[in-house]
Amino acid sequence: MEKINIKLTVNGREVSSDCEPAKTLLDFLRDDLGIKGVKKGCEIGECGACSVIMNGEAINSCMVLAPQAEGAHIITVEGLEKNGELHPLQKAFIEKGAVQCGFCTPGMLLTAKTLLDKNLTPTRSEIRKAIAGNLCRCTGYKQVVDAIEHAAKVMSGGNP
Amino acid sequence: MNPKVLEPGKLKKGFAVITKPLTRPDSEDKVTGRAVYADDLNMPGALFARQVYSEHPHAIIKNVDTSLALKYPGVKAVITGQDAPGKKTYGNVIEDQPAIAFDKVRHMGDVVAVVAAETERQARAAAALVKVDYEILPGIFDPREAMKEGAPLLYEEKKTNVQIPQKVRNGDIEKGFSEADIIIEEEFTTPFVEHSYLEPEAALAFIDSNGSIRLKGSFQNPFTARRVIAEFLGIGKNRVRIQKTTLGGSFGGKDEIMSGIGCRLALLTSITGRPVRMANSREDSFVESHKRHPFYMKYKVGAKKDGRLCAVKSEVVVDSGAYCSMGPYVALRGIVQGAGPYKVDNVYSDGFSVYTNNPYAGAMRGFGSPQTNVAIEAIMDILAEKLNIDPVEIRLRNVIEKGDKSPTGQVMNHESGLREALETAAESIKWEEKHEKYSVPQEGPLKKGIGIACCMRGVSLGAEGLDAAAASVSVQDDGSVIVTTGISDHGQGSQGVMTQIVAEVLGINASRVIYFEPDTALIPDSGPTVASRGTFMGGNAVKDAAEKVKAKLLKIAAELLETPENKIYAADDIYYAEDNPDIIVGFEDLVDECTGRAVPLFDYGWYVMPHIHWDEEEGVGDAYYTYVYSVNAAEVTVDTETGKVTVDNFVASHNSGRALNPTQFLGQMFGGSSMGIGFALYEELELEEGRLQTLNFDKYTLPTACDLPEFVGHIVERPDPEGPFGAKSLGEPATEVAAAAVLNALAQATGNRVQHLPASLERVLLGKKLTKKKKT
Repeated sequence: MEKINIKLTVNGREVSSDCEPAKTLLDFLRDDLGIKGVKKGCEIGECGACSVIMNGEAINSCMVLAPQAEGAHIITVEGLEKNGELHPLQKAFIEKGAVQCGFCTPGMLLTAKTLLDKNLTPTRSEIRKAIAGNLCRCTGYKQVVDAIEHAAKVMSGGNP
Repeated sequence: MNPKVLEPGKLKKGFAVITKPLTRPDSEDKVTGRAVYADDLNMPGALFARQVYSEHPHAIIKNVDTSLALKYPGVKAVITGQDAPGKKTYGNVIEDQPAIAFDKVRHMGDVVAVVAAETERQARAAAALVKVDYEILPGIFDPREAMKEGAPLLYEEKKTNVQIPQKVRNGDIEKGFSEADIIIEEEFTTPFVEHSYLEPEAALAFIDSNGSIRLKGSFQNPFTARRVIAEFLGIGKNRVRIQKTTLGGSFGGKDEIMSGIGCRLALLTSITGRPVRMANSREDSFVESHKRHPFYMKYKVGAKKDGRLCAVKSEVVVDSGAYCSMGPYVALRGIVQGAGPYKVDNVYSDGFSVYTNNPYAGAMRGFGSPQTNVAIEAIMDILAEKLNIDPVEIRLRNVIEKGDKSPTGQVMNHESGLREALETAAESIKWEEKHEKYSVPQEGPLKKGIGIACCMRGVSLGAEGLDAAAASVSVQDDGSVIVTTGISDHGQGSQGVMTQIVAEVLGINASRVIYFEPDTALIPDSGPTVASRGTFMGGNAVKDAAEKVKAKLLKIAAELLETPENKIYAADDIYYAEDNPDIIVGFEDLVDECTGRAVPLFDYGWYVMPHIHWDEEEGVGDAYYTYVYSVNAAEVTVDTETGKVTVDNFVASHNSGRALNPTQFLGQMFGGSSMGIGFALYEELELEEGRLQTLNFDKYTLPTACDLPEFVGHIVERPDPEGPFGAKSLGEPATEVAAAAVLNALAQATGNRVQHLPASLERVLLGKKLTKKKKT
């Protein structure tokens, strides 16, 4: 299959790469760019393990073809840390016990970031709605919701 | 070296590390994407392997033609069942499962050939060119039918589809019923359930520099896989080395399937001389992996007017699918725990695991008990209603306490804590007020109900097999510490718990300790990480190793502190004398001193579960050495116009011995509860004559964050003298009684009891499952 060139920004870094046109963004990120924090769980847009942020929105990267991301700004879990410091969400996930097997964690963090980027004072019910597309088989979600709520308070400068 | 003076306030009483909510050592890797899972691995020159699945649920393999596949570009090898150099079949109880099917296929997930090619795309394309000539056999898809005379046999030579029947016989069942004031007879069924770990199976195999074969991958039980692979290849176990990668969940699932995958990759790498890797898609995982056993249960229970149980009789038929896997032991645990955590003198139970041409079933979190708990706990509520006793009260009248006999006649040598667990759960969910309120007719389409259920669980393997585990603790000369165990972390948090145990024993900060995942070349066989035995068995082994190292440290500290060893305490990196707190020695200085004297600060730990006596022939005795106890309470709202059930509140109350890490303890409780709620309301694999209709999460419904309540957890701590620092088990107890509680709440809300799981919309609304018309 003839490859096509795509240019996009991943975690603030400009990337130019030749890619098979039918390749998903998920496979492109994992296999072509070696960004393994994006997880493959179902490949039909049901589990959310492959969630990344594309132009400010959390999307299932298995449901987007790589060429559709031409010119896009992508954030993966590897892009959450800033200057060696963990994002408040990452810290909260550690502190609140939101991580067990960890396979859903990257997608969950990115969905949560998208929520908090728009709403720093979400209710627990709004948090649950936001992450309803990210399946977790380990935690029962309570400690995940705790973590996102805690991070929101930290980020809004409130008293968590 | 001169001992120093203790800073004021440094001296601490009680535990310094365990019981503290320390964060998990693996969580930073997991929130940054650095954690390496099996499918993240690759090696230069690695081939990709792709398996070919059976086309029929039951057929004789007449011929496998690989010639076209072999000619496909990029293909380096194609293997079939005939290529196994050693033993063709494996299994923990009965060796009936082939890594690659060779004589027959017995379910749709059987692998008949495997292709290794340069790229995944080539491997998949070539796999489609493998031509198999089958002679189709009649299939059998219901275990109750499969037990009957004349049913098609999966294994002709066995002359029956029934595996190894299990039984419990205690007291005199007829006498028990003759003494009963009331007798309840009910039937229950549960479906095939998918483990649904978020990470599908994957592995990588390559030939090591010493000629041994190394495998890295999502192995739940590295020692089991090593044995199976070595026997399949016909080589020594020392020539197969398994390193598990970070596991994206397992729940009992990444067991036999990983042994099979390991065999195929090991053979392909030895044939081609190249590294070979594979990764299952979700659909592959659904087709090939084992499931939770469907149970077909008939119960007859007798009780006195005051609610005290006098007889429990049950017959449990277990659909084992194509292979035995853990079938008989799942049936055994199901019936041993199937009379509830109650004082009942007369028990008569049979458990039959039966072959069918369905997907095979095996270990899944709970291991037979979530199914039987649904039955016995429903019957407890039926009794309560008929006898006009509150459901909490009827349980309080029956629960086992220390010194009581279990339903298998075992004298319980530990506190159950069930009274407190029931009371805290009831209080927490506001039982009295709500149970009364929901007992009267409710207006409108939304009906509320509240339910409670309790259970006991045998810790670790018990009557299921030999039970021992190993660990090693090694203090480096800079004061950093390595702990290894044969116990795997599937995501449940063993890393943290083991680290905390070492730190507690050595009196050091947990941040000094690093945990390495099991490596079969570096640690003795510790059995599988199953049966909620990780903390109990692995923790005891780790504690043993750490205590041996501590003894060496204390010997030197005694000299430095001029105090007898038994008067020295250690905490927060400081060793000090109880009688003379003015002088102290820091951990690093002490290690330095030991290094100077060539004292080896390394040791192995080994723990063997105390002996028990279970009489398999008679079906009576001590089934497990010790037990844990759980209570779950649920409040639901049922929309009687749609059948939708919403769990509004859920309380879990557990006596699992001492909670070594409360955050992780609660995490297990909540996660386990959610799996139980899924079992009660949503999860079911649809099958049509052995063919799966649910192949991914679009049709297989898992609970989302919007489907689950704000869980509340209560830790009822009853430290057990045999557990590490009094800890016992939690992984499975966390899940096994949740469905029973939800279904009891549902029954109160609607007045109709759902006894065939899951309580899906149509079962709640219409009382039956709607099935599609069969294709003609």
